[in-house]
Amino acid sequence: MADTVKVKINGKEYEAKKDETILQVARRNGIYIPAICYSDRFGAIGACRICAVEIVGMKKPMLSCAMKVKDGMEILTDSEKVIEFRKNIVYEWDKFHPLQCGVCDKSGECGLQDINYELNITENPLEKEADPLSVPNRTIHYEWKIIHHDANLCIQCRRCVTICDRVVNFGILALVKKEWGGREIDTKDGKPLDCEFCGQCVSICPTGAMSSKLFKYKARPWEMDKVRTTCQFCASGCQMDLNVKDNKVLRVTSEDDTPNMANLCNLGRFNYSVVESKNLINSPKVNGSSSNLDVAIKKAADILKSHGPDEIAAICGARETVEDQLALKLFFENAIKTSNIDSFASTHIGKLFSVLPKGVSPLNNVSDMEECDVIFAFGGDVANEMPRLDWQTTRNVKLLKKSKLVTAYWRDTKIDTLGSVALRYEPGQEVEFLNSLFGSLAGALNVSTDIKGSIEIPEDAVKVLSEAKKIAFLVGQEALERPNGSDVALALANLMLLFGDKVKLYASSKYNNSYGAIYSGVTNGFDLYGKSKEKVFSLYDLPKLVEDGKIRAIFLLNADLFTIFSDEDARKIFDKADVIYLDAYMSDSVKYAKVVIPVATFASTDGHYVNIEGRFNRVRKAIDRDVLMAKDVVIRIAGQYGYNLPIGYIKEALDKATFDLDQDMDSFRNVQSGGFDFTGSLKGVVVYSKFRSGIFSSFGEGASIAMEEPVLEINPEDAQTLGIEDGNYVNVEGLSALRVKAKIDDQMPKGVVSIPLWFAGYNAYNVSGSLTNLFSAKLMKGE
Amino acid sequence: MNEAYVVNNEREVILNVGPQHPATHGVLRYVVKLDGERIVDSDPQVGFLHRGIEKLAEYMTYHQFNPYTDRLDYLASMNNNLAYVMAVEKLLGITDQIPERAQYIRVIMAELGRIASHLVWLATHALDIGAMTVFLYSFREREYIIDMFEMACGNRLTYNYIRIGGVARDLPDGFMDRLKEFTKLFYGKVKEYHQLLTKNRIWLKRTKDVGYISKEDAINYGIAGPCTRGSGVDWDLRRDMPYLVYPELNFEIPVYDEGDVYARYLVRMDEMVQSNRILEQCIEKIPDGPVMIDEPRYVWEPKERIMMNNYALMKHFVKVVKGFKAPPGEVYFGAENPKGELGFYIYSTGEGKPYRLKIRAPSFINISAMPKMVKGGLIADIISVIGSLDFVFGECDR
Amino acid sequence: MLFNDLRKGLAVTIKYLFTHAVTCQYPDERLEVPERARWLHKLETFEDSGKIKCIDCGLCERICPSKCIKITPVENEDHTKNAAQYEIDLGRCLFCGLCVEVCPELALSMTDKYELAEYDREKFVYTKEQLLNVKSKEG
Repeated sequence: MADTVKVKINGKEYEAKKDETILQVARRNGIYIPAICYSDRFGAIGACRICAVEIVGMKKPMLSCAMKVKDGMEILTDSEKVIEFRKNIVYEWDKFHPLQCGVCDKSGECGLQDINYELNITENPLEKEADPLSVPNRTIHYEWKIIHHDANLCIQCRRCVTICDRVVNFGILALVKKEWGGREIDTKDGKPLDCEFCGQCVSICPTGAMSSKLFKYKARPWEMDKVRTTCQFCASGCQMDLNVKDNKVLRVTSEDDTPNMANLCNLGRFNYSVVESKNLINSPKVNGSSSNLDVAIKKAADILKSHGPDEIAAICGARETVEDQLALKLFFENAIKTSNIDSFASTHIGKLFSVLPKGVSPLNNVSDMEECDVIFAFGGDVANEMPRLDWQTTRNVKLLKKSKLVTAYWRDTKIDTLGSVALRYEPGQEVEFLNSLFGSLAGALNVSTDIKGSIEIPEDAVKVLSEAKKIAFLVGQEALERPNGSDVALALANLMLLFGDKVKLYASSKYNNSYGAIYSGVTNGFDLYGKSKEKVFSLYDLPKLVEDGKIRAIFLLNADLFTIFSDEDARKIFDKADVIYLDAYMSDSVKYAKVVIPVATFASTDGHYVNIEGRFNRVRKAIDRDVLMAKDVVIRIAGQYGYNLPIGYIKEALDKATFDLDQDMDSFRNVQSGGFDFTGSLKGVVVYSKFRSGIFSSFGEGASIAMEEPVLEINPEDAQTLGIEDGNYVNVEGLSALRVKAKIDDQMPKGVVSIPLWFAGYNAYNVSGSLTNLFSAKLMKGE
Repeated sequence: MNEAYVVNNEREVILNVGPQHPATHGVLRYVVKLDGERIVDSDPQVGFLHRGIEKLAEYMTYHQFNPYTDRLDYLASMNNNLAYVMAVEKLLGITDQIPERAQYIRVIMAELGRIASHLVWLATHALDIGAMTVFLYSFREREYIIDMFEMACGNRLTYNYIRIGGVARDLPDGFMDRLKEFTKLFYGKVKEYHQLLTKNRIWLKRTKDVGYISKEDAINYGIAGPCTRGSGVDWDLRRDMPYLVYPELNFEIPVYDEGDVYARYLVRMDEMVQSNRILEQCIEKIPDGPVMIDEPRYVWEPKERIMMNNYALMKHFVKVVKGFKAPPGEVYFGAENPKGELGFYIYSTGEGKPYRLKIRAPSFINISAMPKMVKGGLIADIISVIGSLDFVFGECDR
Repeated sequence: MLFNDLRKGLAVTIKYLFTHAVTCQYPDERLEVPERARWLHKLETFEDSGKIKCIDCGLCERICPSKCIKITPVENEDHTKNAAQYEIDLGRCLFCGLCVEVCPELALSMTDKYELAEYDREKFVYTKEQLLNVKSKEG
């Protein structure tokens, strides 16, 4: 029995699936029904009522966005009753709408303008009701950060409220009653907006009520060219359009047909001003003074020629394109003949992907999470590390109500507000926790093993996990970057092997091309296409190797050492070794490197990034700058060195576009539950912030206005004991001290404080030590 | 290989009547193969004034393209505007709703344009053959017409006056009086031109039996307008495929059978007189009323509405920025221009901009008949024939 | 041999020897253009406050068939919008009048100043200040 039904629309017959709404059937067949509050991103709300159609046999017009089709239904979309109904709704909207089309930024892409044109509104009988002296007099929120709200332009379709609630899961907007008698969109508590500043409300508002302050009055929508490219701030690979006019990026938009469903986070949507030339390296430097490109390239080649192959190392920052990485690999392996290559991916996903169990699917489409009935989020704050996973989890749990959520972390995070089974452990006890969970689950699944741990796992969690048909494993970057991260990876692999092919793995990464670094074979332990290779040189050993004099020259490709090392360790490396530094953005590394060559930013380069789904996303050139792409600089340095880099091999390696990962692990391994020795009463954790991805992201307007300086989060009881109040400045001391503002957060467990990474001027690794994210904290109230 | 470029024996010479030439009415490169002084073969080369107008139309909304049509046949801009606008109106299906006053104004403008164009033709044709006086006299009459146009719309040569749905603004005060004055004096002026040229022996020697084209050839080459009416083909779009208010007006179509330059000269001279007759009738018959259709979907609304009503302002923005949505389909409309039949073919996919816009330019087709006309003649006959064909390169090359 | 045809023609020309010349003796006499003339543009200001009427809606820039208008917007302190720079390149302008017709604020009009010749092509780009100060014959 097929579940297709036949319906008649305006006299013609069409086929439809049983669960489709009338609006979906009409849109699929090119029939026009206006709809303002409906969006594919969250389904039907039923607030605007303009999609109403007449159904033969029913007295009142029914909303086509919510009504499902039934066999034999006869629908009229343009009858007189329907048009009258629609026009009345538009008269209501037009009653109070000020004549601001000339100045409003939405003009040209405004839903209200389009509806007025399509319905050909030529009069407004409700105009007499509106007192002209009272229009416009609703609130205009000039004081909000980044987002601008003008309640006079609002038609109260409630799209912003719905998307903030059902897609972003922050829920700060609501339709609030005001003194003048009516209702306006405002924050639920009336305070100025303080949210994630992701801008979904701006992108979905049909009129100019919600708009972006960063784009206010800059340009008209029809003047700008749209260039489709991929975001450079994390491995989600969200597709976005850079709106360019006169060689400047003026704003960022995204379309509904992208894999991320037009959703973008604060960094993606508002932080595009990082690519302005005041934040970029403008000229090559040799030995600290400005120089020109040829001299710098020659000096770089000379440095490489003057050391033996074992004394040279290359580090990729996992933010460049796959083509750049492949060029580096070909140059270093074939010409310099050294295998001292590593990338920033080996701090997290490199560890996990070298112990992948058999049967587990390592690279999955994010939308495939909808097939999973259990989501297991472990080891990191998913919403801060990769917002796209947060949105998909929200969609699964809140909107589609398909999955149960199990979170395993040391504190409550944003996704716990969806309703989850919460498993908690103390920071540093990841391996102990995983072993305990493994033991309990092995018991429930009747698998014989002698791996177990000492942490108590609640019964309901074990039940949910063991009865799952398909599990989505969301693995946080933070857990893999612990000092015993390789053991964490192994314990996790044990757990995944327990479930076998029920697992869909999503290993998050804040670096946009860390998966590309695995594909290109520039990560320790991986060869081209992700094949396993013997581990030769690791990023973790770099400070020691430089200090012992074993590595004398380093080639850094988009790798700002201050993002992973403390200031002291990074300075030591720069002092002792000859560093060749290729990057686009200004950083502290520029001051200390021997040779600095600027390369193109993501807006001026052309290539591919590989995202968490294993997809090869295209990065397109949107603005022209007089700077070479990193791939071309490597080719020129190679040429100066005496090696003709075969460009065809780069293209060939790119054309394959699928990974060849070796998933060898087929039996459980014993893992020592190491842990971290905390001295003192406070445990310190270095966490990732939603508003920073790489130190260079601090220079953009979106991120720096949303959160100017880092905050140290502390439990209320601990704060009271230490005499700290919300907003005080404290000195947090580990290996050295840092002065940060304190914020009291009652979701922090007792005895734990956290500081975020990558805020410019506040290197958290100074406190915790390079490449570790745990430290013993001492807090003192500062002035 | 075109025969015009191949020399067969020692008597034949190839001569280039180059693009820079005071008598070629624009930029025409005309290559002739001569046997002594007689023309054996020839080849016109066009394209020096190509500006890519048809391609530009694909990036413009229908309203935005209106000024470009002025610049096709820049001597009779009103007629070009008219042909384009009527093609778009046919696509939209609003041809019957154009107010009557607007239709009369359009006819007045079209006929004034015809007279203006024929005056330039007469001036330059006579000048090339040697009669300089006629040139100055006809430009004097043309100034009357151009002053009237300037009163109505503001520019002297390219008007942008006839718009989709009517005309841009109503006629100003004083326009009708000046028109009456003009129609009264024009008959006398035409008589003067006849006195100066028609029986003049030099003129007869230069134009009679020169540039002959037979009736069948004229139809086969596809030329239309005064050039075919000089060869005996009785075809005029205003009478045979009428548009606007032409069915209500009385006028004759002059047809002569000889098929030479002199016949075409007489056709155009009589056409000027007939246009004057049409103008007199229009002055009497023109009614009062609106000059623009009241269809807010397609036409820009008056400023008071835009500045007072928010829905009018919103629609105004959509119409200007995205253009009105024409229904999908294709349409062709041909109008009787002073030079022939100007046709617009528009293919629309339902967007605000046309998918393809093709212009059937009469001058382009007329030039293709030139080799046939000059064959066997002398070099000086080329100039007579060029004058009688009356082409303009803005239209020919687009 | 009477040369009748030539004599008749000559009679016409001799007649005109005794009539009034129709030429306008420019530059001693300036040819007056009618009220609807479309020549140099003028930016309007409010009479009482002297502020520019243009709010930079962008419609004139969009409708111009030759893309000769360039506007840079600016936000004032009271959150209203004005044009910081407004340039018309008269070297490209068609003087078609569409920009005046679409303006929703009546901020642009065309005057009767038609003597616009320059020696340098760069001088054809008229800036906002030049367009505000156009003095037309009427007022």
